[in-house]
Amino acid sequence: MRTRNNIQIFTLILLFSIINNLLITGGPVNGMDLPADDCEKIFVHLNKTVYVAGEYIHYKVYVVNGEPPLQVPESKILYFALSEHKSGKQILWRVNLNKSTLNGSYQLPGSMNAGIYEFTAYTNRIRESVPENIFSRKLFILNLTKETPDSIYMPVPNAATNNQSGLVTISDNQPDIRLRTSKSVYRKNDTVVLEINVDNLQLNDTANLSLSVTNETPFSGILHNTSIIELFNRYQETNGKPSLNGLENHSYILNGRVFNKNDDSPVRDAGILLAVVDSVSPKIMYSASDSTGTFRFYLNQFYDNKEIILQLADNTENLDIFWDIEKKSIPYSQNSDVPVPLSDIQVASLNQVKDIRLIEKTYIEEVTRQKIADTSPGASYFACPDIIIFPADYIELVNFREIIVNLIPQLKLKSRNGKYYIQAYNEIRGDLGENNLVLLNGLPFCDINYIISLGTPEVKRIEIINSGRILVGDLSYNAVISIYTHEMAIPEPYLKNFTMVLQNSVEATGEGTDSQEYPATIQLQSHFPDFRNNLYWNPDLKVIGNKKLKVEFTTSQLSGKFLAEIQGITSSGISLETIVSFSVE
Amino acid sequence: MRNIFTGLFILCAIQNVCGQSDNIMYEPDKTYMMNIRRGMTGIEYINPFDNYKGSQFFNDWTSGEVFLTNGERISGLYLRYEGYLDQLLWLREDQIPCVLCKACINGFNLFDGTGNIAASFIIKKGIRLPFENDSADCFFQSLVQGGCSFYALRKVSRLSDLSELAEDTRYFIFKYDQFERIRLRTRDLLNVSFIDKTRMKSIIRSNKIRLRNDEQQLIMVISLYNN
Repeated sequence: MRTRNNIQIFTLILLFSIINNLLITGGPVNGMDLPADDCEKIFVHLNKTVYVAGEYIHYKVYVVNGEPPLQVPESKILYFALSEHKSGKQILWRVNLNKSTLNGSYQLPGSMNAGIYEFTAYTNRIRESVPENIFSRKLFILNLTKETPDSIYMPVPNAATNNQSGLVTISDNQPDIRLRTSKSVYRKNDTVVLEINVDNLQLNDTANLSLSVTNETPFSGILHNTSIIELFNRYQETNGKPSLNGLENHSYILNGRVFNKNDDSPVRDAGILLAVVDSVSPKIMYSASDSTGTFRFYLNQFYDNKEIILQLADNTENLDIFWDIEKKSIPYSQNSDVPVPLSDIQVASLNQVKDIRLIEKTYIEEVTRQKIADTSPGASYFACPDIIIFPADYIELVNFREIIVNLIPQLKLKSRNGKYYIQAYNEIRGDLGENNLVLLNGLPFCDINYIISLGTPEVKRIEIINSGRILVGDLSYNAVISIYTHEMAIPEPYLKNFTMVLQNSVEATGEGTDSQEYPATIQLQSHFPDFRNNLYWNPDLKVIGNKKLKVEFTTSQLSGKFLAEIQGITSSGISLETIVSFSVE
Repeated sequence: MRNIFTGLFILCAIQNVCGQSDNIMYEPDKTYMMNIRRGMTGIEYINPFDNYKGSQFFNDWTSGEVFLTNGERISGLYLRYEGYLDQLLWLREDQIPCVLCKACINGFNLFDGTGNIAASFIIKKGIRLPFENDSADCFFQSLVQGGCSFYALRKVSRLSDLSELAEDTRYFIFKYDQFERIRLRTRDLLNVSFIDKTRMKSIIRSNKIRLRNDEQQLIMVISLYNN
């Protein structure tokens, strides 16, 4: 009897152990043994693999973030880098990651060198703690003004890489995508119909897909890339490294360090003010540097595509500093790159791409998209102004001294050792104070001598907050004097001498940013020569349940073999991929 | 046998610990909040009624969270509502009380000792109250939310010629953009233009509710009406 009890207890413990194990490593989900790690994994589908400088890269991004699949990614910022093999030069851009899939485009700079580039996509979390999960693929970029290279620089394959990764087995009954062409051979300017359906897709399940149709290039050996299925099903062990600076789950983190120019030592406990030029109200943010000179700001979408101006809160004394702003780039080692000669067929193919681009540039007017900044008023953490003065409501006054004397009794202008400063009357304390925050068009501005030169023709509005001590982070001011000019300009010498100016560029994503401009233009203007090598690009196809989807497009004057490639993911997190080929004669 | 069990338990425990160590330590939200709180701005609050009888404060310093107009939520703040100035006060880490800019706030929550919401305030922008000459942004304590919302304006008034402050709470019923001021009595409630008088009467009768100056009873009756 006792032995039987022991066996039962033993079985219970064994069961507990198994359940425990499953909870830690994750059980099978939808027929797949998905790992329980909550690492973000990224896959990017590009519209083609060979580009010419100045052209748009169109892309669709898929992000998985542990379980459940396709939940909104924890990271809110996605970075892209294009690193040139041989030189290691990097081009960086970023987008806001609000959904698990997004599409967008990026215009390649016209000055890029011809050669092989490593295209990478990552979040700050991946960059810092799981660099193995950085999405990477190779691209060929050409330049119309430069010779087509006859050899390229490529890294030496390293057999030791990815030793931590392993593929997870995929069961047979999971969704599988099918792509069929109406014919196997098409004529030039013929209509191609592609039929897409997903087998074994549940009725309420949706497959989110992207489709590219491009001509086949002789670079399959060089530009071999990981597929979405391979990437998302690869179990990547985390390295356990803490990511104390990296998780951008609230907003973009602007971090950097301040150093003394003289001895390169970090500036500790420095009060740092961040501002943007603004005509409505001050948008000041405060941060302080730690013992290593490191500071950080959390920039929400209000600051996107705006010029960010950093300066020390007390910039009258310590001007010998330099700023080191974290670029969020990824390290790229070009030491292992070796030259690889290109065959005649490969060079001819590259020259064809250049010719096609030349035709496009000649006949098609390209619209350069402007980055649009957030136009919402944003939140000013300051109180509402106690006094607002519009100098234009009064007689014209030639300078700010006259404005103060005649219109603002709460302010007094004083000079000491040839330098002007403003005293402000604080209503609560009942006395005049010198420790005031003077803002010019929203920017903390310490050059009072410049302010003095502004008269009624320049000054639009003056706002004063003097009803108490103004607290900005660790700083406190007697009053805030905010001056807005008609031109909304900040003098260049001030920006150069006292501040660090950054362009907070964010690329647009979503609908309207990734239209199929070229084919549409070609179809409308049929008398133009049409030699498209990218016949179709649609980043936002959706297949629901067992429904079929039909896609129609026309071939160009270009003959050869074309590849239609679909990448995607279902709402239950199953990655999908398929390629079909057809010929144009 | 006991040794085997002990061994198995230790094995399970080790497994658990090792399993957890695989997880990455990500930046905790408290780092974010610490940075946000440290960078906040406002105006120092100086008590204008130091030697007055009564209090202008709705609560003692309690933990709370603020919802900003830019969508941000700042938690872990020590907050106090000042009823005379109708301002939200924040106690900074350096113990300086500070007035938070009303223009950037959508609302705030005050928590009790157990971390539950004790009072929830929202701001009504540019509202012109019947007893005021101008429109203003006012903090209202949300008492009932629904088809008909019930709010309290926790006003504190200074009694004339006396160094004394007195609580002067005013109650309002809102339906979308419409609102009416009521006192805590049945007649006022039944006279609200957008309330179905017959239905309200039946709710009061069937639940045997006596409204006379009882805020809790009014909260109950409006909640029942909304259901």
